[in-house]
Amino acid sequence: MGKPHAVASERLQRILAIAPWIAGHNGPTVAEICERFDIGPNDLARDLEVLTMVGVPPYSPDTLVEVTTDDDRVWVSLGPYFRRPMRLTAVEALTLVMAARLVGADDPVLSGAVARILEVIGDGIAADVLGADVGDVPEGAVATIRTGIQEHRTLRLDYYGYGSDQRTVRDVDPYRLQMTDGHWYLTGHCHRAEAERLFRVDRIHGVELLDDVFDTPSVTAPTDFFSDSPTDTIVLELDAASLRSLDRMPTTATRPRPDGGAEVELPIGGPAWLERTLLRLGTRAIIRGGTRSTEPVSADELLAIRRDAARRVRDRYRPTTDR
Amino acid sequence: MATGELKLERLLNLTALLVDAGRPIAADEVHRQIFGYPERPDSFRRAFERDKDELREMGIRIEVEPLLGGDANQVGYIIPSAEFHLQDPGLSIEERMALQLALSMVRLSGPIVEGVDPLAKLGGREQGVAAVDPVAELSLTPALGAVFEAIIERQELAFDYRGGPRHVQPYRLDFERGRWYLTGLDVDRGAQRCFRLDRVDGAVSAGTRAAFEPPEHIAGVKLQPWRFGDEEPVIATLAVDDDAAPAVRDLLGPDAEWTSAGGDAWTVTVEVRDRNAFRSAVVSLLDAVEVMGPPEVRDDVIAWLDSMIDDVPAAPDAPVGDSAGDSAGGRSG
Repeated sequence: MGKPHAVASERLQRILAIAPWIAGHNGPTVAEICERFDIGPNDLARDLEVLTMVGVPPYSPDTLVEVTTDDDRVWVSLGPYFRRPMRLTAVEALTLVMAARLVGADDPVLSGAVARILEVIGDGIAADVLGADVGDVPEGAVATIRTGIQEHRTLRLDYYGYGSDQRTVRDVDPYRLQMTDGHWYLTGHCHRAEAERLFRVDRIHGVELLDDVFDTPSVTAPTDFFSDSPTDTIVLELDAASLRSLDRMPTTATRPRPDGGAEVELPIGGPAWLERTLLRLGTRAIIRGGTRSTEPVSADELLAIRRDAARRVRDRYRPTTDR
Repeated sequence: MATGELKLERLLNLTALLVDAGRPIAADEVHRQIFGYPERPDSFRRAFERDKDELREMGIRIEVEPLLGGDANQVGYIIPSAEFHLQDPGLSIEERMALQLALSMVRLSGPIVEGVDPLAKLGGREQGVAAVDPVAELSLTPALGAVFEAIIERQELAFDYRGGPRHVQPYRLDFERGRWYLTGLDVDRGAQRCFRLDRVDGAVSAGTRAAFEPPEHIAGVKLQPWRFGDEEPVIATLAVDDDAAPAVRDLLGPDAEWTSAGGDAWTVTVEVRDRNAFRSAVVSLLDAVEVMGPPEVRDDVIAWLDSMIDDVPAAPDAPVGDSAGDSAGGRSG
């Protein structure tokens, strides 16, 4: 139990939500009320008992809330002051709108519901006061993937692999769809890699539902990041600013330094991914080493990879002198 | 009856009185009418203040108004019915079920999750909506309620941000990669700015309602950190290979302008206010992209690449571009 006042305020809000609903229905059963409002029968009985003590001056029987129970049914008669539920708080309204935006940006039923809610919370409030970044997900992709998961049907993805910097078509048995940090991720068994993989839905250029039905394994291993080579890592020593710029990248281990920097281990999502990361961090990142297929990779080898990548990009800025 | 029950009863009766009367009610009258307050005037006063605070914390608006027929110094309390009651949004069963499913798919996190249950006020949960595991997370940060309320009510906000006071006309909230951003007019600087809500220091206070008119269309924040620095804006021009166009579009966002350069190449222009962040973005696209101008931006990229070819440390005054979050939000400049 929380603080006594938290309990009182939670109960007050609950009572003022449940009572108008009961009043507006013809004697619903206790079981129905309990299920609808996720409350136990004893709590409901206590709430209803308090309600019988509530009214307005002069607190004569006809100005008090009336609660009648018969067998298992409940009737409540309320004055106009409690006949409607309390308005949604800003956070409640926002939660509703954002839930709808996050999981069903392209669902017409949800968009309709959001529009109606925005209408009652503010006078002429614009629909664009709340934004949710769900990436540039191709239209209908989330729905198609959900169907695949529900019906255990294989999907054919036209997918851009950021790690490999290539577009490929692959068949995937979809297991799970999840949104993390503003991106939808699909977990599934990739026929091409013959292993479980994580795909970013905004990198899917097209998705097609195949007729093939697959058996879902009873346990699917959680996948932390997208990678064609999930065992490869690189260890870097970074100053505080570089570390902040990694912000949203998955790091598997960090050893903090007193100056705010840290030594971090990053999983590598493919050769192109490694080059991007090294070029972005520049020479402020000190390369300590890495692993490839569980074998150690020397710092010198990684330095050479960075140098070659920099040279290749630099070549585009030629023609200039001899480097 | 337990104390908790008595207090609940008192709060409910106080609410009913202030909603029902249709006129401001003096504290004395509250004391006379509502059962359960202490006898002594000073104890009553303290209990009454606490009750009002608690009701306000629940989002109930208690207005303070001069008493009808009294002298100007005497005030009373009223809960305007129009602001107390939920206007019926008229949701269909189908819409309510869709919302219920959407809510069940989102895990709420953060310090103010307790007691947030929008479905109860909309008539509770319908049967027959499948229970699903959450697929997305929505973090509810402390300032969120006050800020969204201020957007709805068009109230000016005052808060501390990056060590200084800010006065902001709030326009829009965006939830991007797990964080909340506020877009609004920074009144002291006379310019639109973005603020990260988790960087807001301490309490947010809101001014009077209907204090400003928001612009008709408000572009939200997109995580392109080079747009959010304080440097003089420059227009950078990029040459982009067609193969890489989808990835570059994804990175640069909708504000970049694309024109065909013939064959399988594009010319793209983008406004830059943080060159370090821009350089980080550009080099991460590898050799699919070349910065054509302006010369100082191009030279900066070349120098960055050269430092890695020669393996010499980058100049200490050229820190790596901050992540979006660090750069979003206006600094004075």
